Amino acid sequence: MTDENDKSALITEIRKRIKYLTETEEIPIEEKIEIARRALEKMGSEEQEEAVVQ
Amino acid sequence: MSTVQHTSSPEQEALELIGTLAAAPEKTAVLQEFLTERLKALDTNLKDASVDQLRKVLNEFPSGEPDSPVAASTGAVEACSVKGVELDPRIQVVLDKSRSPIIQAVLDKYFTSVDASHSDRIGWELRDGAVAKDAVREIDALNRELHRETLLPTDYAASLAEGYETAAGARTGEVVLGVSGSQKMDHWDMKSHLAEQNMSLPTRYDSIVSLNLSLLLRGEHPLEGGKKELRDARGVLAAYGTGLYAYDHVDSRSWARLRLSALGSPN
Repeated sequence: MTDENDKSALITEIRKRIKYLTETEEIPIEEKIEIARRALEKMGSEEQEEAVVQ
Repeated sequence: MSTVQHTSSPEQEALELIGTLAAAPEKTAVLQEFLTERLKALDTNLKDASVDQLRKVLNEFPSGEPDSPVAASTGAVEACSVKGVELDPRIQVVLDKSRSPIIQAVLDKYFTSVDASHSDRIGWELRDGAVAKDAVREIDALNRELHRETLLPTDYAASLAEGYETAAGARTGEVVLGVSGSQKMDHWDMKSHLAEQNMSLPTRYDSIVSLNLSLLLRGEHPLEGGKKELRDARGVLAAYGTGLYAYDHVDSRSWARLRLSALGSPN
């Protein structure tokens, strides 16, 4: 699988999971926020590092 | 590349907001809005993220899929009888071929092979109309009669790992939770265990964590036992589906959810 295909598949799966997280009633809202926070952190940390490099 | 904007750390923001709104009647609605904003920000940035970043992000989310790849050894099936628990039908059972032919015959009566193509272990699922509870009672009775002492051969972990993969039908990047009933296998990370033997996982995924059924049923999470290999496996487990994502939080609620989602309910 190429990098682009891999990326596309990952984005699709993440969006599927975001949808699940949004809709499910099995997970408390506080826990959902914590999941979102950690996910966002994973995105933010590397970008901040890149910003420093740039 | 777009960037995620933070005025303070996301953790601080979330904690402050939750704390401030704890007693407010409109708490849920406000928190929901906060969550929605977070998820929107995340979604907007996905296309600019690297594959590595995306993998990390994915691992934070529960899959929500009902067919989570959980595999149990026949030892776990047997342990169910002792604990009075009916195995969740979604759990695939891995048969250890070195087992007694008598026990194999009983297993064959209740379970059917689902795939033996690339493993010396066989994934099994319940035959139509069969009840796992009846199977484990019969096996347990046999075990008592035979006074069997299960020994783990040196290649046990590798073979079981392969069997788990086969039985659970794991996909690339997924982690299989192996549920064990063995009293000897307290709980351990197979990857680490194999590394000690200069072996590697014969599987596509990163790791298999085997947990002792008894610990789970008692509601005790193995971290209390201080097992380093399992602490190291936290991130791996977080990649798993419903019930395990919360492992990263390491609290009793996580394990309660794991028990309910993976093992069914006590009779």
